[in-house]
Amino acid sequence: MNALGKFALLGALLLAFLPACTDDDDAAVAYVQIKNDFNNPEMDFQPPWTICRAAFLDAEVGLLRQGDESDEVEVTPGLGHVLMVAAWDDPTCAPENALPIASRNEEEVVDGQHRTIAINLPNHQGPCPPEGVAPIPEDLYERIRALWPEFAFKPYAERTENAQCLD
Amino acid sequence: MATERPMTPRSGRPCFRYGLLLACCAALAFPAPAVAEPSETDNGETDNDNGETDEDLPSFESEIVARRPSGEDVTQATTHIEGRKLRDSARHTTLEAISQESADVYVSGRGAIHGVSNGASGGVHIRGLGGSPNTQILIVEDGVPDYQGIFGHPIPDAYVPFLLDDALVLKGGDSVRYGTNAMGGVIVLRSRWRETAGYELHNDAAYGSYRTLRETAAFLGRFGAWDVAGAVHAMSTDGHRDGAGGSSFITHGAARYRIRPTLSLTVRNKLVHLKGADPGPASHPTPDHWFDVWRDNASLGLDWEHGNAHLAITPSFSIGVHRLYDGFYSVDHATGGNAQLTLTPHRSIELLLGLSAEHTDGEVRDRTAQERTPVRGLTDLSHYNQLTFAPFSALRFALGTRALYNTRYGFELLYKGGASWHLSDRLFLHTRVARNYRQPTIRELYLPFPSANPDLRPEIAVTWDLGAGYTSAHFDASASVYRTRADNLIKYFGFWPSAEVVNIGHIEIWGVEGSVAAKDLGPFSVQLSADWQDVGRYTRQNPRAKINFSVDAGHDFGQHFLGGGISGEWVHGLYMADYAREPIDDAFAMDLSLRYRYTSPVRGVALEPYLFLRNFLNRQYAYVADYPMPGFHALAGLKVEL
Repeated sequence: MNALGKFALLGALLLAFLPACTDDDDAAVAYVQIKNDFNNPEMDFQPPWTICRAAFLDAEVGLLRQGDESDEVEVTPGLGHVLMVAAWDDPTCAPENALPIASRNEEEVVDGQHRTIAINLPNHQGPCPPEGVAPIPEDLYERIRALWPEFAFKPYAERTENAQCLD
Repeated sequence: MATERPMTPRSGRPCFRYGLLLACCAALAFPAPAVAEPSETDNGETDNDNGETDEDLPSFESEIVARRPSGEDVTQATTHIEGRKLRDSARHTTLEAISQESADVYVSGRGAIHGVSNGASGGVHIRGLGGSPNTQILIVEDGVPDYQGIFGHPIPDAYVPFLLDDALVLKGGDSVRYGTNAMGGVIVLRSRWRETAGYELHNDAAYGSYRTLRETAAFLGRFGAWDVAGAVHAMSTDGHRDGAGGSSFITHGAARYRIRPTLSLTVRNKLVHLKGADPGPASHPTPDHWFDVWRDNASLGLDWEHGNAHLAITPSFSIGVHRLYDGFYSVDHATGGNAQLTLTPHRSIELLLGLSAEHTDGEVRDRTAQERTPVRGLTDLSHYNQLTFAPFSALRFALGTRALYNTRYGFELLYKGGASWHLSDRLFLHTRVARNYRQPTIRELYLPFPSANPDLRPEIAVTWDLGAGYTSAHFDASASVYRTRADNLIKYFGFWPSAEVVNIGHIEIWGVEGSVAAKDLGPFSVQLSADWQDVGRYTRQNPRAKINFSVDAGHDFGQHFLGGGISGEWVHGLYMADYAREPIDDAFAMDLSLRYRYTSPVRGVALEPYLFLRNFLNRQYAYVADYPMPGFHALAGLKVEL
């Protein structure tokens, strides 16, 4: 086989094996439900939180009483905290009983996934936590304030002055 | 609480299959060439028309020091490592020593012992697949896949090099040949036999920092029709911090009876006992998180050669008992067998036909609550084949398929195809595509740690690479670009009590690796290998770049040999979480080894005192966040050979 033949064969081989496909990531979508799992009986304590608002990635869901699951919403796959407003022992979500909280875990969904994210005792963090609940970081707190200004939460520096914290 | 829903259908990506199909057509388009009839040399090697043996043909990477067994995929990128090099390595464990030889192999560490369960290291990544637990990388020891029946991965501390003839790292996996778990790569470990009548004894005793005591005794003999090999290895250490200590005790025995020159029967057994603890993060130590593991691997081997046919039958059985501090107790077992026939029906064709069967099962219970977690075993049966076709002496194609039937998942078709081309005596090209597979482990299916899902399905990966290399007496160089696409990856989401594990992950990896080696330049040899890869979002313990290097020097003064070497590893782009979160500082450490050897001309006795100065720059580094590696420490030993 001469040199030309060798290189022609090499070219054919490369074309044969070269994986030329590309991802269609632009169309990627995942499907998420948020569940109010604060009444999970496996926990030592069931805090009486009602989830008044929730947002995950680029989707929002509304009121979730204890045990409720939201409708499935489409999101762009990725990673993020579930941002929420929750009311303590108040299914009506009166602002004086509400606080900004977020999922403790940075939750992930990938393309094509259907996932239910459970918000429960170990998977939440807040501004005036009872003992054992992690404090919410400032960036998450401020994003919740920006998302739902109607609740008139105090700035992060004064987060423990929110009415619910004072109860 | 796990919620499983059907995945949204994805668009098909048939490009790899088209590539394979085209390659098959190209292979079949070549007429049978007029090449010389291969002839067998004394040791069974096959000559080609240039009078070269397989050994003479350049390898894709690293040095080849021994004939490859028949039936290996000659188009696959590999790194071959001599057993002696592993025995002389200053690295803590065999897997780390293998990682030192190839930059596209990454093995995490945390000290002298990798351990098991939480806090364990020793996860192996090859070209971006694998990890902890390393179920996507298969280790094959003397022809037997080695993984635990429940957890689906091997114990990283179970490999010691005292009887190793060599190690072969197969990049890009090979599920056609090896079945489940051979997704990202395969590490093939092969033990040695004595080649001539007589016997040899080896003893290696060492003591070092952290009250590390290591003793290995090995015996190899050939007596008439019998070959025997056995070794005992014991190691104990206090570790470089509280909880990092432990001990290992390993025995390995093998006997081979040559019924006829072409027919032999081998029996082999390896017993491992490992004790240690998870020291925990340095900021929150957990030295009381102990583990105690026993494992036994046994196999039989029947080898028969007749004309151009070679038949190998290898049944095997392994059992393990794991006890953990928290009450966890498991007994797992894996039973399997493999029958492989290699035929050379034509001078340019080698055909490999195989049948294999595997069954894994076990029992898990909580010792304190006496509660048992119900599990079900997994069984699969396979037929596989591999055709190696050489239309010209310098051009080879390898094609193969495996039809795998799993009693739970049904049929799965796996395939591979590749080509290698020696453009000249020194320059070569290779390319290969393979569809590989991993079945879920019993742990992923049934054990709620933190979640289980009995509806999981197998993972599938398609790997491709293209490489070139140059080899000569004193200089070797090679480079490859590789790409891996994997679907249905089994991923955990969330944490207890709402964790779930589902088949959802998709990964696409691009990478490039290369190595250069200058050999025997006077007393010096130098080797450098580097790897860079883009692993997408799955960055957890999957580094972006790695460099390994070594400088060795040695000189014989008659009966005396004086040598030493410096080796180092730099790992960049390490993260403790996916999406490039929780980054870790680059890991960099260097080891120094010094050795002197005296060989008595009369009795053949050799004495070899040696010294390892590990992390001699005393750098602070870690592969796992908050699990610092040891600072500068030393190990001094004496080898005696009779």
